[in-house]
Amino acid sequence: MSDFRVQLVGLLPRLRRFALTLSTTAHDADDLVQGAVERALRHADAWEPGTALDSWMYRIVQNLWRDELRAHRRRAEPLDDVTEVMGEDGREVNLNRIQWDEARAAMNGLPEDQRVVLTLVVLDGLSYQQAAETLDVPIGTVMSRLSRARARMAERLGGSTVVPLKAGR
Amino acid sequence: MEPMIELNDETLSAYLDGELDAAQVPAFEAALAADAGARLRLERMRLADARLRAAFPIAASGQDDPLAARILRHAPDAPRARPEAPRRAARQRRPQTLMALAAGLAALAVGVLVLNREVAVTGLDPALTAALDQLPSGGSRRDGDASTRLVLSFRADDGRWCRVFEQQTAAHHREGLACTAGDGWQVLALDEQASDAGSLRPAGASPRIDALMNQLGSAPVLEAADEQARIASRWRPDPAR
Repeated sequence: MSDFRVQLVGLLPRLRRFALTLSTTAHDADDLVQGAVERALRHADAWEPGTALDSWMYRIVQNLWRDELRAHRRRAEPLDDVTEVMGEDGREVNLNRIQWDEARAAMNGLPEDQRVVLTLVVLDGLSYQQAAETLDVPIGTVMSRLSRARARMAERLGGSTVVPLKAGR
Repeated sequence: MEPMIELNDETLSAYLDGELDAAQVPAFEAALAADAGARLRLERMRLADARLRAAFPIAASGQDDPLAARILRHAPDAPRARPEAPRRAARQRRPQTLMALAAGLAALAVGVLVLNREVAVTGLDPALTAALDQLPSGGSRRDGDASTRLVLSFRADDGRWCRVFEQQTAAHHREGLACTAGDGWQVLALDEQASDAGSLRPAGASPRIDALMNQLGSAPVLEAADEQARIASRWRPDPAR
C-alpha cells in the first residue's frame, strides 16, 4: 500500500476537523474534504515523499475553501451568533452542551486566519515553525494571529470577566 | 541582571505553547509570579484552549468510511501515482473510420503474429516503424488499405520509451504495445480481433496490454509537448532521472 494513500487516509480525521473550523457547517466541511481529496489524488505526483503531507493537504483544503468563497461570495466571516454566557446557577444537565455550543460559536466568530492558526497550533499541536511553513507566513505572523485569537477566546470562554494586564501592549 | 521580558498576549501565548526561548523562561516565570493579572489571563487562555479541544474532537474514521475506501482504491502502489483515467480515456478512442481491406494486410505484416502471447518481433515492417517513430499520439497514417494510429506514449521504469498503437484493416483491428529496443522498436504485445464493419469496438480494449503497461511502470502518459520532444530526438533513451 503506498505511503501516500495510507498517510492520506490517516489524515482524514484531522482534515475533517480543519475543514469544519474553516467552513463552520458539517455539510460544507464534508464537501470540502471530498474536494480536497479529489484534488490531492489528481496531483499526487506533486507531493514529495518524505515531506509533510499534512501541511500539503491543509494548503489544498484552504485553497479550495477560498475558491468556494470567491465562487459563491459567501461571507468570509461568519455571523457572530454566540449565545449568552450562562450564569453560575445554570442547570447542570445542559451545561456541557451549552459549553460545547458556546465554544463552537466562539470559534466560528473568529476571522478565518485566526481560526486556521488556532486549529493548527491548539487543536493539531503543530509548532509555530510548522504552522508558519504550512501557511507560508513568517513565524511572527503566526504568533500575532494566535495571540489575538487566544485573547478573544479567553474573553469568550475563559470566564465572565477579563482582568486587564498591568504591563503589556 | 536577567533580561526583562514583557508579559503580553503574545508572550503568554508562546509560553503556553512551550515556544518561548528556553533562556527567557526563568525571567518570564519570575515576572509572572509577580503579576496576578497576567496569571489570570494565562489561566483563561488555558481554559479556553481546553474548551476548544473539547468542542472540536477528532472523530476517528469509521470502519466503513467511504472516502477512505475511495483513497485506498484509487491509484497504483507508487508514491508518484499514475493518473489512470487519462490513459484509459485515450485507449477508448476508436479509429475514425474503417478502412477497406486489400492486400494491404501484407504491408502491415509484422514478423510474427501470435495472439495472446508476448511477441518479440524482428524485421518490424517499415510502415509501423515509421508510425512509431514519427506520429504523435492521436495521429494516424494509411499504408495501402490499412491504417495505423498512435494512441499514447509513456516512459517505462527501465528507461525505454513505449507506445500503444492500433492497426485497422477491414477484417481486423489490432492493438499493440511497442517499446524502444536499440535503434528501433520491439513489439511486446499484439492483440487482434476480427472487426465488424459498423460495430463499435468495446471500450477498454486489451486487458493484456493494460497489464503489460502496468508491469512496465507507473509513469503517466506523455503530454503532447514532451512527446513531440521525444519524436524530435528520435526516441533516444532517457537518462535516469
